[in-house]
Order: sequence, then structure tokens, then C-alpha cells
Amino acid sequence: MVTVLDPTVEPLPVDAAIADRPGSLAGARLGLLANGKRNSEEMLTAVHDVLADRYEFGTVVERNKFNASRPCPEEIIDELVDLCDVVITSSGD
Amino acid sequence: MQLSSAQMEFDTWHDVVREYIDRGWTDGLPIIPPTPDMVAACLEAAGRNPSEVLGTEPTKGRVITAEKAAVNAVMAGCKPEYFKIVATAVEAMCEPEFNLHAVTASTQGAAMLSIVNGPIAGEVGLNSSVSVFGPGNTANATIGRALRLIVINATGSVSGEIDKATQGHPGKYTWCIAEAEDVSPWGSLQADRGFSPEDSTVSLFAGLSSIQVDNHAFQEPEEILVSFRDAMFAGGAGLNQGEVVVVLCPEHIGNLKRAGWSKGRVKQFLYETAQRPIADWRAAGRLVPDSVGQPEDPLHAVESPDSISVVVAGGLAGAFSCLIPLWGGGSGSRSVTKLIE
Repeated sequence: MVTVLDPTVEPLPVDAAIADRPGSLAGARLGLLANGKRNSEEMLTAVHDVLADRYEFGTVVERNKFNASRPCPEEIIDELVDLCDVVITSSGD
Repeated sequence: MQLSSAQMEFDTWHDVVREYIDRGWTDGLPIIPPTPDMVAACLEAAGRNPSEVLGTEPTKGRVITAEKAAVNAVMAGCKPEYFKIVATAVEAMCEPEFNLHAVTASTQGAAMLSIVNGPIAGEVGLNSSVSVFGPGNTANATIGRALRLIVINATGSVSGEIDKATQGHPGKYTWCIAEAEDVSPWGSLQADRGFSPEDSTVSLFAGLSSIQVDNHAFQEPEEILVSFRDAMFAGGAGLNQGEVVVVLCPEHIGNLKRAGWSKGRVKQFLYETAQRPIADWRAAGRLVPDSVGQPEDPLHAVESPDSISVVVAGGLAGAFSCLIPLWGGGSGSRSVTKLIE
């Protein structure tokens, strides 16, 4: 009989929940968060333009985290939470 | 010694190996079954407590204890005396500037190159000479492999899942060397990083696939280094890189030494000569935004002379060196050097 040890590390549980989905985008405060890669802003602009043909947004807030390889800075997250009902992100390249 | 990892029982070692491979807990190769005694031996040799936190993977928040690192080191085939190096390298990889998650997830496919300096390299028998990047040395092979298994099992960066490397390269299996301090006429890497020659250190680099630099034609420094300049144009992001590593072989270093060149002069020469107009970078397929300058403006391959880490390694015969570009343009991840205590 051979006794051996588990080599893996489990992710830490995070106390978080998915935000409520809005019933409609009409009048919503829209956030556009680019990940900093090339064309990420162009991608968001194109998505915004398609949606804007169907919905009249309350406001549109555009941000760019400028570093695709690191998590979004907390201050940008906090700002988007305060200012937006819906946020769309993009990964260009 | 009190260990907290879940224990499993199998009839034979072969059953363990088969099960660990099937669970995706290896690099695809067989492993040494990590028994509690062998794991405890690693921890004792390094003077580490099982519950000691070596680091927390900064993006996913996974905590890597000395025990989990030791389990993976045993699986990789490490002897207990290697674990001091492995544990310190884990501390290095968890430093925020190394950017571990991106390095081990990105399509660019970086590996982790460990360069060991100081007395410990000789004590554990690390190779710095013939076939320095090749097979045959247990310390080189298993220390590098341990770090990869830790990334797989402790951070979850599994190929095809979190690890999305387009191609990757063979250094992702294992990539650890010692510097040939006995051959170098200059201060070694740990001295460049502010440590004493008596200190033992491990330096961790997010290395892309290395580029061989072959120059048997010349003996004068300027004529030798032109081949390194060309490699700098080809490697990684190519332009304005934050860090690259030059690994000089003894024959090349011998010619530089004979001509009286210092390490600083080599770095300055490479910085100054590895430049070309923006238009040429673009013609070579490099993306250079308009904001950087006019097409005729020169652009360097590296940010500064100090962007180039120069180390010495390899066998005495052959004028084969290499250049190792780093992930993320050499600035998305910064190399980390840690004292092995």
C-alpha cells in the first residue's frame, strides 16, 4: 500500500453574487470598459453603435484599464459601479 | 511532522502515477509518488514549516504553502536538498511584479527560467557548463520541473484551460540553470542584483523561447556582438523591451575578456547598436503606434543598457550563446531575484 498526498490547491471561496440583470437597456447608464489591447476601444464603439440604434442610453461612460494582463484597478470598478447600470467589456487584439 | 494535504492510498506506485496523470496533476510525464515521508524530508531540509505561506498567487488568490510546494517538488523528482531553491523560487514567482497569472496564461507562451547563483549551486550539483539547457542533470531537471508542477497544481494553470499558450516552448517542462561563475570574468547575476558573491540566490525570468546566437567567424567584441544585436531584433516584442537575458558561452566571453570589455560595455554596445528606424520595425511586422515617432526616427530594441541581463553559462567548446526575450515586451513581467536562506 502506498500513501500519497494531494498536490493541488483549491481556489479561495469568494463572497460574491451575480448582479441583477436589467429588464431593458432603454435609459440605462452604459459603461464601456476596454481592456487596453489594440482595437479594444474600436470594438466597444462598434458594439455601442449597434445597441444605440435600438436603445436610447441615459449616459455612456468610457474607461480603459490599459493593461490587459492585470486585473482592472479597483478605482475604475468602483467608478463604474457608481455611474453605470450596465457595463460591457472587450478584449481586442 | 504534521501535514495537512489530503491523503490517498493506492496498491502500487504504478497506480499512483497512472491516477495522477489521469487527474491532470502532472506535466504529462510520470511523477514520483509524493509520500508523506518524502515531503517531510524536503521541508526539513529547507527548514520550512508545512503551513508556512510561500506566497499567494496575486490574481486568483490561491495560497501556496511550503507543504504544497514540497508535494510537487517530490513529484518532480527533487532531492530534499533542492527544496530550498524551489521554495525561494515560489516566493519569487508570487511577487506582484512577476505577474504570474499572465505569464502562465498568456498566448505568448512564456516559461519560467530559474538562474541560480552562489554556493548552493555547487552544493546541490547544478549544471552551469556543457549542455547547460539540456538533459542529464537531476538538479537542473527537477527544480525547473517542480516550479511547473506547482503552477499546474497550485495555481490551476493547466494547458488548454487557464494556460492558453499558442505554442509555448519546451522550457515549460523545466528550465533551471546555474551561472558559470568560475568562467565569468565579471561579477555574476546576484552581484548585479545587489547581493554578495557569498550569497545564494535564485532569479526568475518569464522567458520566451531562446534564440541561439552563433558566431564562430570573429574574435573582436564588436564583430561578435553584432550577432546578438540581430537576435535582439528577432526576439519577443522586438522593440523597446523592458528586459532581455543574454547567456554568453565561455568562448564568446573569452574573446570579450581578452579585449578587456566589461559587462557594462557589452550592455551599452548592444543597447546602442540594436536600433533601427521605425519604418524598418514596421516592415519586420512589428506594431509601432504613430504616436511613437516618425518613420525615420530610430527605435531601440531595449529600453536601456540595464534592460539587458548578462549571464555566463555553457560548455567550453563552441561559440554558441543565446538570447532569451521575456514575456510581455520584457515589461509586463519583471524578473525577481531572491536570497536563498
